[in-house]
Amino acid sequence: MNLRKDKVVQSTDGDALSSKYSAVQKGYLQDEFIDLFVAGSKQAAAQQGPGSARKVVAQFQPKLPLINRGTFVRHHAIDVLVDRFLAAKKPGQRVQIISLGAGSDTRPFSLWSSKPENRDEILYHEIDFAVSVERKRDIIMQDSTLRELVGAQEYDKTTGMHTQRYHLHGIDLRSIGPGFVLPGSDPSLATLIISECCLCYLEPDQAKQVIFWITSEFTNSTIVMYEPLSGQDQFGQVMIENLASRGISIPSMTKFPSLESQIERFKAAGYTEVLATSMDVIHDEWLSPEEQQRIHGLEFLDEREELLLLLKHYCVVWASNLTK
Amino acid sequence: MTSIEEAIELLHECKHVPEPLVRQICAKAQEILVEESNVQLVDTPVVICGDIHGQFHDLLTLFAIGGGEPPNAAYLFLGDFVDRGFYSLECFLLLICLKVRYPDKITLIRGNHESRQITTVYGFYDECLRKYGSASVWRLCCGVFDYLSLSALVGGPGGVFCVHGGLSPTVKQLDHVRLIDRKQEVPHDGPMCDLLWSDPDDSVEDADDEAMELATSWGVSPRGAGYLFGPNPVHEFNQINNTTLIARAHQLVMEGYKEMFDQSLVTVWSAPNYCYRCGNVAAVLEITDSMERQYKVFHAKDADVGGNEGMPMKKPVAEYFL
Repeated sequence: MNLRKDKVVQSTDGDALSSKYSAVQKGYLQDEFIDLFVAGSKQAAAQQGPGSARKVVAQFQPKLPLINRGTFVRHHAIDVLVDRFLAAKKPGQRVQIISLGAGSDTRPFSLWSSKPENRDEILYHEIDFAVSVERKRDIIMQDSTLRELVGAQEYDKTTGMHTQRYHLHGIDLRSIGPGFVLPGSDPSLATLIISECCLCYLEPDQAKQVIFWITSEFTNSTIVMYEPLSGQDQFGQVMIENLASRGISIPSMTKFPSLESQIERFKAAGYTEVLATSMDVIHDEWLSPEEQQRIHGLEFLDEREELLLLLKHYCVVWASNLTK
Repeated sequence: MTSIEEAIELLHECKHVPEPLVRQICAKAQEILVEESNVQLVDTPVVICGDIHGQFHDLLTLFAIGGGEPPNAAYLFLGDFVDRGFYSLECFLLLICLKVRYPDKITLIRGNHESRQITTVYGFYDECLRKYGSASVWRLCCGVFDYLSLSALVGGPGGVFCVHGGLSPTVKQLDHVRLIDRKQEVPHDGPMCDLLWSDPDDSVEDADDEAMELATSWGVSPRGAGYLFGPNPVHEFNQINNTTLIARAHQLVMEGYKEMFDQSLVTVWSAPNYCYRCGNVAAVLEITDSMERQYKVFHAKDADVGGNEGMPMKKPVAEYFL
């Protein structure tokens, strides 16, 4: 294992958090919990020294309209697909969500907070590197609203966090394969697996092992995945090179460069319903006219060609084998 | 050595240009630009250049492939000198220094980014703040923006109309452009805004019925300013004004240039690998004495080489969704 590489992958949570924070600040998205995680991130950086503190301040500067718009589309797409999964459940039915590489994501808290019945009906697992999980647990335990939402009783000193509705696992995904048992998980429940820029960082064989584990462990499963797409063009090539200069490698971009190859990937894994769409299509077609208008009114966006070019290089995949 | 020559030398050496010198350059540039027409007449041969967006090293490449820096060749820049790239100030200062030094060899017209409002969002304001510790240099540059011409006519009758964005439903004749009082911040609507913001669009269908013209030849721009225009307004404009081509910039073109509407309009894009992320090539368009079009395509400099102490060419960080 390469520790430097792991650190770089962990740092991408800062990218996601700061992008979402900027989009929330500008009114694209709502997130009542994000401030806690931004504060936690700044605090952690301050403890590492003035250099890290300066870096993190720069990171949380407002982003360009282009980035805010793309962040909005990303969250909108995943929201729509999570809603789609939840809409299929019967009233009172319990379901399970497993978020891979959850980082500072606030989705479980928003789900439990928006609908009280979700607290009994959604069992939520978040998996990430142990160091990320520790930070998240600290943030949860220091806030009474979050503590109450996750159903935490007391601060126990074991790793992660385990309550009746929430499991925070400090697990390296590379150690997951067929036969692995996720503590607290219930294979009998309809299960949604979210990979928001997570599996893409794994080597193709490791990512395949994780998907193999999902399909063998959870017979009623749906995967919602968001990740970059190379498109096998110049933009994709520059993206691979630019990320490499930050030490980030995204093997999935080479292995699955197109929507077709992503679809093929999940069909081969045994999923019966597989849909894949690039984010430019979501931007143009998944928003209601009212929402379109609202977004257009938030900020002046100077270049549509650039936006669509950027969005074309990310996709969202829905793969489901839910039995009717 | 004059102060302008001194500044050009500093810029070539990628060294900091002191604020008093910037003040002098801007004052001289304003003196020259204020005399220019809204439709600046430009002789051939000339190299027409699209958006630069603060990519200073690529601007130097552009001059190299265009026949050398003025006065070795004549250039017409279609605006958007600043924002997005990290060297907006250097780009703008070099261009206006050359304008002051060789006014007949370089023409600068205004892009939609040469505006106070846009530069506060897209990087130029922050860059000035970073480099000078105050907004005064940004303010000086914005003062120059207001004097930049709005368009150019290359080669006289039968020539090329050059503008940053495109046409406006309220501009049928060149004289309509000449009537605009341009010495102001870019307005949010009206002819001046349209010239800087509009885009040609293949999907805006043509209509023979004149009454339907506004509905079918002009469309709503997704940018929130200016219009989308189809081939009809282009052909009509060229016919009324005895021009053969509309050359404009404003839109990223992966191949550097793109002709549309039976070659009656061209988009020229001169920022290679735009924002260090897009992977596109760039182009300039030379209009020769015989009014021929010669496109010259160029690539981004490898960001790992070049640069120097004053302006290290460190690899800029392009943002992605991770």
